[in-house]
Amino acid sequence: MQPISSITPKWSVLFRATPWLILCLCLAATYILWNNAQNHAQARQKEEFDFRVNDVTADIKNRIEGYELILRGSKALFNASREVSRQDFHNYISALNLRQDYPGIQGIGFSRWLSAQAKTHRLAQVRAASFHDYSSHPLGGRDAYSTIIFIEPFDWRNQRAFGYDMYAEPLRRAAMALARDENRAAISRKVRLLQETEGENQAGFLMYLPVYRHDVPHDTLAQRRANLLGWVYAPFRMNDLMNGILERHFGEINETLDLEIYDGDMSIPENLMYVADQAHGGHAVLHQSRFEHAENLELGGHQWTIYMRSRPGFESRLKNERTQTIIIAGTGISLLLTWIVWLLVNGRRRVLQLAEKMNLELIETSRQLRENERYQHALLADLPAAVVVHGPDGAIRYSNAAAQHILGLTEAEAMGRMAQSSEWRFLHEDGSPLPAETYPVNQVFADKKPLHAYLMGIDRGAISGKSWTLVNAYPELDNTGQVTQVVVYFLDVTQHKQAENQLKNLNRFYSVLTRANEAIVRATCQSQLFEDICRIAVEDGQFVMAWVGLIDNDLSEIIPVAHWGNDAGYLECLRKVGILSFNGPTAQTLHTGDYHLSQDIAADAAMNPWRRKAVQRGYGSSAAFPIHLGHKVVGAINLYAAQAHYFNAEIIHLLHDLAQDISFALGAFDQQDRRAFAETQLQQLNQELEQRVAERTRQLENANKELESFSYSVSHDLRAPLRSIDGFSDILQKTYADSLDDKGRDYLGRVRRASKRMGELIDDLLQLSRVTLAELRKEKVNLSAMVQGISAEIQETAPQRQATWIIQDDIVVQADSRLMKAVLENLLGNAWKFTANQPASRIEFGLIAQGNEKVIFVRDNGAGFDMQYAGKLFGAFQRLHNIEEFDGTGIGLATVQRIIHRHGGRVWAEGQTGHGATIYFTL
Amino acid sequence: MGKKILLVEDNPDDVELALLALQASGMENSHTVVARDGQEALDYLQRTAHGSVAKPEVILLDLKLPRIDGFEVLKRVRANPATRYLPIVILSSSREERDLITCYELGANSYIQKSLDFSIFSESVRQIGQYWLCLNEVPWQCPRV
Repeated sequence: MQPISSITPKWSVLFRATPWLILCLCLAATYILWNNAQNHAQARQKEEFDFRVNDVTADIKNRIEGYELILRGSKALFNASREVSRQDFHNYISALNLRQDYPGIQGIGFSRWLSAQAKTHRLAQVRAASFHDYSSHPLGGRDAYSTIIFIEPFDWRNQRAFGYDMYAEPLRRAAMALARDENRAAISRKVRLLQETEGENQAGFLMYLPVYRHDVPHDTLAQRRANLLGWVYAPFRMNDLMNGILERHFGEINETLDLEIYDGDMSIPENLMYVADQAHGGHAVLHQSRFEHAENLELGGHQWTIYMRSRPGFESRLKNERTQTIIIAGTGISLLLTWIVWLLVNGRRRVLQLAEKMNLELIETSRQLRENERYQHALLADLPAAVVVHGPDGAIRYSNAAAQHILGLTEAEAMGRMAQSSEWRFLHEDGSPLPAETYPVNQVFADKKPLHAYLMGIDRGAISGKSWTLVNAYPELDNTGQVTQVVVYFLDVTQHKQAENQLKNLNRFYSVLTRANEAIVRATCQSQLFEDICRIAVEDGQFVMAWVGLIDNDLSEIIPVAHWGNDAGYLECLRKVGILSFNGPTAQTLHTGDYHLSQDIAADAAMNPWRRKAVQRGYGSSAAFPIHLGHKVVGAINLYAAQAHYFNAEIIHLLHDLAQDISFALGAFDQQDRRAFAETQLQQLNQELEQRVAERTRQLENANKELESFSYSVSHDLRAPLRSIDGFSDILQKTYADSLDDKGRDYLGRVRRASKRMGELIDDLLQLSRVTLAELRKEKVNLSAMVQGISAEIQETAPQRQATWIIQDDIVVQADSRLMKAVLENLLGNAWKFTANQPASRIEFGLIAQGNEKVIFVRDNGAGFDMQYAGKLFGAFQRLHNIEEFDGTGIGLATVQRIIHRHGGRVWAEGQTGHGATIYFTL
Repeated sequence: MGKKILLVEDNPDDVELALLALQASGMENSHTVVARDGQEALDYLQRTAHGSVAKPEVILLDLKLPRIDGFEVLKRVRANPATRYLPIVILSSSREERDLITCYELGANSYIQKSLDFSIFSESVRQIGQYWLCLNEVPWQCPRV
């Protein structure tokens, strides 16, 4: 076959060029359009520029003519009056309101034409009019003069011109002469006005209008020269003038147009009179103007050149939106059009290429298909799976070798057969025969959907027995959805199926065991456990019925305690008859301690008393397994299966395990019961104890609190009355001593002593109670250092006393330092007190080891005590000495004892009357 | 008006003894204002704020008082900006550690145990008067009325 794309080779070049030709054409058209628009815009601009030029020129001309009219008015004033006074002129000009209505005009004046002799006369006249310094300038001898005699407004600027002889200056003279000779308004060339100052220098010009004697004719040149009176004139400052004129153009001129005015017909810089844009200076702008125009303007017999140029602001209007739109839209449309054409041209080519490719692929595919077909047939024939193809009528159209083997047919026999046949039966998974409409092939015909992994038995009766197959079946549909054929694959799974059944059985028993163990763990009491086990045996083990019986020793009988499954009064019947009276499996198990079976109840004579009832309830075989507690058989678990000969070795083994597990649980329950009882009692005892402890603690806390609050109030309140007693008796003694006799004073002394002692007692009592209540904070305490400190303090109270302190160094203990200080203060204080009567006190502090114990002691050589009272020594308020001999409250040693006891130590004393005492303590 | 002492004490005997002691040290009784309980003391201080009575140089404060006790008085005097810097000397029979700690925590300037011995008691009252009235300075920001 010839490739399609090569049919028209010479046209294809042209084809491919088409888009680019289109692009060129479109762009050209766009350009022409744009150019037209641009030209049109330019023409419009030109028109507008011309209009502006004319507008401005006309404005200038109009204004100048306006000024000429004003001059004519002024001239009329002279013509109308015989003599014009300065005041007349002033009034007239003021009325014109020049500055307001004619901006740009600097003023209006009158210059008198004078012969030489007339000049002198005139000078005098003006001076007489109080302008004493009036003079005509410039001075010099000429035959004729002009002099400015009036100028209004008469401000400082105009005063500079007052008296000036304009005729003496050539530029002005030329204009003045022209005006005089031709009787018309004449404008001077560019001059510098006298009114100009140094700071601001504007170009200026003057306009003259001749005034003749009005009573004589002045038709000829000679007459005019002879009759001349002078000139009314107006000086103009160019910038001021133009600003006034351009007021209404102002924005326009500055932004878009350059305006320059030159004197004469030449635009040369020295003739420049005015530049519109002062800031830019006109020429300074570097810009090639698109439009420019020079206009000669004839004004008062004089020529000005008005020169205008466009500026970028003006020209930018050229780039208007229309031309831009044309460019953008034109280019866009060109590109779009090019693209479309390109697509058209190339699309056709690509379609042709695609068609060619598909054609080749089709040829290749059909070749592959034919090859596949050959492959498939070869493959199917030798496939170990069975394949059968049914035609639309259900008849077998093809079968492979494996299928023929399973069905027990030759290829020729299989051909044309239907699935329903008297030679085989198809079976359901549970062994029941399949109805014809659930045959795989029929299902697929009906559903038009594939069928997967359908387990089916094939029973060919006597020929080759049962086999199991796993079937997949697929429909093939035509365009209208009709089934054209059904392909059925089967796989022989007979062996798998048998193995699986066995596994399922075993699995079931493992599951029974597992769940039974769970129940054992979970069970909280024996009866619940038995019931759970029976339920599991029936639900998971699929026994018809299960029961547990325990031996009742009193009755010498086994009593069912739990059961599950189809009982229907069977157990009641057993009990009535008496299980142990006969020789059933249960009774034998209890007698022998080993399991017993009845493999076929219907034929077992041992089951006699219950056989009929058992068969009625569907029991095929039964087994009894013993339950032990310790080594003793205490009961049995009994199981009934639907089939005879159900119990094989493996099942028996597993059930045996089950019975053992139950026995184990029973043992655990027994122990648990005993332990639980003991625990309950212990718990009760503990609770009582805790209660008692809590009670005691509360009582103790209360007592402590009371004691605390008591001692707190004591410290606040008990002392107050004592102070009163002491205070007032002191005052009595001092202030009122004269009113008392000796006896009274003695009693008063007693009162005071008693109150003092009472105070001491209270303090000691408070210390004692604090010692009892304070929290014990044990830390390392250096007792030796503490004793050093206390002894120094004591010695200071009576420095004159002879005393030897023997203090062993570095006795460090673990104790509450605050309390230990109280102990040492008391002991050392006592030692000090009781050695007061010795010529030389000797007080010793040290440590001795007694066995493992460290014993600390304080020894003195004082009054000592009788050992027979050693026991009373540590009681509160116990004193062994007369208070007059040794003062003290008798609480000190009680405090010491309490502190030592709180530390868990002991304290004792040794002594002999007159030979000192030693107090020992341990911590 | 001379410098004042505010004595807060409910026990008339103690009041008498304190007055005697102050008298003995040269203080006239008219310079001592006696409040019989905490409420009276606070009322007096309230009046000083209005300017009707003089502000004391020092407050001698007992702890066990009827109605409002000494701790509460201390707390309120310190909480009030007008009396915050007033010197307060606790004069109590108690020498309990916890009373001392509480007082200093609430901002007491000094804590004196009332001695049972009148001579010691009267000496301490004399010293208190001298110290707080003659030597002690309080900041000028503390508004004096």
